[in-house]
Amino acid sequence: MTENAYQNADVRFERVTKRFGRAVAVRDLSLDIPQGMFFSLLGPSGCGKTTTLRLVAGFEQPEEGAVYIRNRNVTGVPPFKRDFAMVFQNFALFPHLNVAENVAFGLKMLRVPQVQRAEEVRNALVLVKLEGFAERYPKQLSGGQQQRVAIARAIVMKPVVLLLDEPLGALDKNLREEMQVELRSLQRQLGITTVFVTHDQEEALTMSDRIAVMRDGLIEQLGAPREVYERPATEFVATFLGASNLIDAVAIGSENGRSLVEAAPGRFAIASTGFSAGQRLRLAVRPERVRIRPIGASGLPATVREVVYRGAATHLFMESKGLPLIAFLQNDTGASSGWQPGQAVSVDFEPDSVVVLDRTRSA
Amino acid sequence: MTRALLIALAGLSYLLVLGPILIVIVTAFSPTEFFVFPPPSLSLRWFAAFFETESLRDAFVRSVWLAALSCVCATVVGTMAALAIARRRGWVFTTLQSLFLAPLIFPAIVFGLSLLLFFKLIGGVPEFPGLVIAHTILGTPFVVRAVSASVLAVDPVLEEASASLRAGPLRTFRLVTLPLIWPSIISGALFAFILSLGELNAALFLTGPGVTTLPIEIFSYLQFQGGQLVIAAASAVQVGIILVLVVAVERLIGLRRIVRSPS
Ligand SMILES: Nc1ncnc2c1ncn2[C@@H]1O[C@H](COP(=O)(O)OP(=O)(O)OP(=O)(O)O)[C@@H](O)[C@H]1O
Ligand SMILES: [Mg+2]
Repeated sequence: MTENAYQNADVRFERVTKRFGRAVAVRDLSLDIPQGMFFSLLGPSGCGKTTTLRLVAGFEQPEEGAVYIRNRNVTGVPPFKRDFAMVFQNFALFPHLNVAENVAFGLKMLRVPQVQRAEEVRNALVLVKLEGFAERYPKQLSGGQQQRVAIARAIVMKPVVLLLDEPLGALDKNLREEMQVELRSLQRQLGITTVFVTHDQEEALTMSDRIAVMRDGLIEQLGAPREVYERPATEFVATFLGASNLIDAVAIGSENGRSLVEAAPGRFAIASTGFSAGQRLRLAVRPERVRIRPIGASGLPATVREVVYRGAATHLFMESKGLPLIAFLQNDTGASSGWQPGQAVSVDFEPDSVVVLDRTRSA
Repeated sequence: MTRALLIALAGLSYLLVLGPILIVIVTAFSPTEFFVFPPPSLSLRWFAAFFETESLRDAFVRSVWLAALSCVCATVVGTMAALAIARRRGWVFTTLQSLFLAPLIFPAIVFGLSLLLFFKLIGGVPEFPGLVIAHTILGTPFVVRAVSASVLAVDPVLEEASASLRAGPLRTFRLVTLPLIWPSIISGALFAFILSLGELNAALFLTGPGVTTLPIEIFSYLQFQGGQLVIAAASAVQVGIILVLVVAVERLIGLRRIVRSPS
């Protein structure tokens, strides 16, 4: 799971463990985040995302291991001597300072001369589209505007790494989606290495170059959004990121470079190979990869239990010999319409739509 | 009906609180030799008498100095204590918290006596420094209380934000924490000042011949000389000082609030 292949890691964890009392928040974490990458930590509440971020910042110190920011071992270095900037969940703007003073704060600490400081503050405010707001106080701004000030205050520091802890969590859905796009394009424009914490899988898929899916202080899977979504390594990833059909099966042989497996509903082929006959497998199939045809066509026999119209898609809840199955059908050509609860259908999927999960690491 | 009752009750409480003070203040401006209420006309005669009586004037000046010094000490000690313990959990800090607040519930007269004994034990402390120590101790709880409450209201994340912007602990305190808590420091200081200015019980034990505070002087003046109206003038001066301070602080804090964080 660890990748030490990058030469230019801006953030590096070397076997880092962080405990709170007896609870382990981060377990033996090794991780490299290369320069310029938008890296997301995704996982359920309490899995250690914030702790990981705070270890980079220095707000927490690890019990074991070392943290590096651009090849400098910062373990034990206090936060104010580390080269990072952070956008906090509730923005943490200084209430007694106006927008310009908030943005200028860090530059003052770096002793940037007055004239240059004013210039950089102005540029940063232009960048986040808050030109006219320099004199306002945080309380006089909307949530989205406060968010932008927080971002301006961070990027004006030109840090090696930008840390964001659920920065969009406090915004409503529309604004949130708008800010996702803006934040991402800003990050590309500045080329700044970014670590982004979220528990929203869509947000992570939308914004990231790489996603680390965390669970109980461990990184369960690390990869590009498409990889993590389409090739989930474990049952946890398969169900935390979107929905999955989980099928228990037994390998019974191989033919034409494919494996044949037997599950409760019947036999089908999967693209992965290398299993011995009789080996037990845990399989996952994304609901949008499931095809439905009238009964009689080749595939697994199933009965429709429920049909849920969702606008862009229709969700079909089915059962096949006691195994629950879901299919998401696009409402584009009319192929999805006409299915009725109680109807017998035939279910199938491409062999390469089937992912074999790592059973040793399943719940 | 209930509204009328409420107004009547509120009026009554104001009357009970302010009535006696008003009577004293109005009386202080009386031109008569003895207490007459309401006074037939107004004069500054008793104020003049107050400032011309050396013992009263000296005690007054000493009391103001005492209040100022003990207020500064209590504010520094109380603020540091509040910063150190307000956010901490666990029995050690809970105990410390109670210790700092103990003078609030300890009878001041017992406290004065024990402090006197303590001073004797360590070989004697001159009257004025002894008084400053006593009033610092009595004033500190007010500062601790006021500042603790506002420290708890400061989001610790703001201090992390400051650190993330390269501000070390001292600069974070000066630029973030202090600007957010200083109104409470000022109001704690004001309490400490007022407390010292009117404190009688502890001072009874710690003053000595020639080194008295205004409340002590007023007390003995009433006991032995019986001139009521000069004492009314003394009280009026005291109330005047406190009023000026309260209004000044109110304006300072209130104004800053309006300027800095309009809502
Ligand atoms: N200061 C602390 N003291 C004690 N335990 C802590 C502390 N901070 C975090 N923990 C524990 O460490 C674990 C990881 O917490 P963390 O805040 O990193 O989770 P998270 O992934 O950010 O969750 P969320 O999505 O809810 O923010 C949790 O079990 C939490 O209870
Ligand atoms: Mg968190």
